[in-house]
Amino acid sequence: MSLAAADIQTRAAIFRDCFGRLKTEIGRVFVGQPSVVEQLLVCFFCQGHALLEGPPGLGKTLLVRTLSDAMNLQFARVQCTPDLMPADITGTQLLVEGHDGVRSFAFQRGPIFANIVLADEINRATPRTQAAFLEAMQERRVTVFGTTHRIDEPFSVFATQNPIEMEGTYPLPEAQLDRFFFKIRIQMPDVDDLAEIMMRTTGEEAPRASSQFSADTVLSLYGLIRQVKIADSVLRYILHLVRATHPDAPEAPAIVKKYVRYGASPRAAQSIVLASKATALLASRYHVATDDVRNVAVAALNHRIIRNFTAEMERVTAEEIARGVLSSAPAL
Amino acid sequence: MLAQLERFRRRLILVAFVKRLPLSAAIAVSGALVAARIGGVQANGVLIALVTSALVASLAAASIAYRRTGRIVQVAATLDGRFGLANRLATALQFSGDDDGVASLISADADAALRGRRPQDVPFEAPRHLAWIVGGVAAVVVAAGLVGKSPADTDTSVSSRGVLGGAANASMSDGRRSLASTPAPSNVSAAAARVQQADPNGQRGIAPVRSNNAPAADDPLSRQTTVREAPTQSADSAADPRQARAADAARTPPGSSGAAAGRVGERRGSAGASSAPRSEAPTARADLGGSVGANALRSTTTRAGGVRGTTADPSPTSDTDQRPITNRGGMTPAAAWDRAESAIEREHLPLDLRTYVRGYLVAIKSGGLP
Repeated sequence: MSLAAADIQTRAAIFRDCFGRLKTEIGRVFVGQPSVVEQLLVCFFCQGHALLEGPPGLGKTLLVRTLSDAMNLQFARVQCTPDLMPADITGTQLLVEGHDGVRSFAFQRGPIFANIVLADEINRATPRTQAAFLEAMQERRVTVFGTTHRIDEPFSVFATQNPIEMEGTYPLPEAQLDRFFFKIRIQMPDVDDLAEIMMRTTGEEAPRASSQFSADTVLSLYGLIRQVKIADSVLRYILHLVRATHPDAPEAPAIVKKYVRYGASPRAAQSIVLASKATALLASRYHVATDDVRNVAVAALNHRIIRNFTAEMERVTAEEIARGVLSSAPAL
Repeated sequence: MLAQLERFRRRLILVAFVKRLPLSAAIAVSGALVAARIGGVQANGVLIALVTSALVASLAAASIAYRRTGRIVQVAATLDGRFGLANRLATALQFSGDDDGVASLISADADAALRGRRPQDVPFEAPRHLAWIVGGVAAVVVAAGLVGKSPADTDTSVSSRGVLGGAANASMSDGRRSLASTPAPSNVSAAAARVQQADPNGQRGIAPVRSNNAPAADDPLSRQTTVREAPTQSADSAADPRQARAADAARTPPGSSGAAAGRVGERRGSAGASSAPRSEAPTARADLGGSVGANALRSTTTRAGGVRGTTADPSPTSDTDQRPITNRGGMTPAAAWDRAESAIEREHLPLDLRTYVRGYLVAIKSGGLP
């Protein structure tokens, strides 16, 4: 769909305004870590799903809930446990009795049909249940008892996981990790942020985000991001980054050859391109620059890089490897 | 925007040319110097080689500059990087043909970013490793100077091609003799065309040496083929009675332009056969087994296998040349013997010629010389 320049400028201004107000609104509840909030919003506006990783108590759940509150969207939370079944997520056929007394099966929608789904501690669910998210995340539809049900847009799954406590967990398989647009690491806040958190959460009234936008506004902005142009040279830069994560590729730096078992998939490149477009729009540009790519590349690559045994033994994280790939890439 | 980019393109090519020229020139000039040194090129030749190499370097630098920065897409990308335009120009250029709102916005953005900038804003740059380039060229120049002057440049060294020794340069300066492995010029006649004649003042000059049946010295053709160098030491053989035999054998007309044919044998040797007129060859073969073509050369072989020469004019030219042959400049007959032997080995002489020369050496040896 081609739009006139003036229309595009107007919508781009709306996008920037929307983004800024959301950031502010989330910041009223979620203290500090503006880059985390930005990455989460970019992921959402790009119709992606995010994996939030951090120790317990850092506000991962709060962040996602605040986002749904600020956007007046349907929100569902799934607390993943080992006994969680796929039907608990997708929904199932229930025997219901009609007004005329006739009983029949009716599909009861699961939490996956919300606009924003929070899968809390997703690595505690069994692989079978984790797989239930796969079709929904990728195809945006659910098939139950042979019937396919579409999921309404906007739709994003935000999953959290605790990187410390691994006992009794089922690490996400690579195929499922690849379906997450970003992996966002939430760090421990500094002292000032902690003090602010204490002030806000131990007072009489806990702050809440107010609704800013409707789902229609969000949907209208989806198309705008995809209209942002990207030059061949920038696109090749992105592809170079992705290829450089593969240890057998000629572009691979030493850190990849040493520590990586398998690199990022083409989905990583798709994620980087889309996120770069959103970042470019935020910078009042209608084209992607390499700086945009650098800003989003680590979040898009770090969960798609499969480390080898040496990396695990030497405690080299995928994020460090992704940064190594970025620093070794030739500048345009 | 395209017109502006075109102006910047010319500037960028110039900047790239200036940046790459030092390295290209350094490589070319160094290569020319080394080649000139190896090839023993004369001073004029070195100059020509340097000029040619500089021209080649300029062309190479221009070619590289054009290929690296000549395309308009490259210009846009380069300007994006230099001016911090966040890929504006490259993107605008790529989508300049698109007819949609985003493309027009990008183009307007690029125009605004490029407005107010001039090609002169792209500064000239020094090569990244300028110090290394300058140092490298200096090192090559110094090395070329230290290796030694080329045979053509030195008036005291003589290209020698003895009957036994073949290609060798016998430096005659300061009354000492030393061997260098530098090959003599292939055109022996031309290389040895300039001879130096000892004058009463010890100066060196050029004098023609004529063979028995050679034309007069004023004949240009004969001058080209028979002119030989007469070093200062050429007359020393007259002081040695044993060299009188060589002088007799040479049968060089005494007083032929006052020339000295003393070192001719050790300088010319077997190559003389190729440079001498064909009609002279039988005479030479009669004495030398076909190795020389002129009497002057033949006189040499009657001496110690071409190691020592003789002069047509037995009169000494300077006091320093009166030393005995047994110990002149450290060259004893035994050393001359060894030198002749090694020359035979080195030059891979034909079997019949080698046998002849060995017999000749043995005869000299049995005669009590070494």
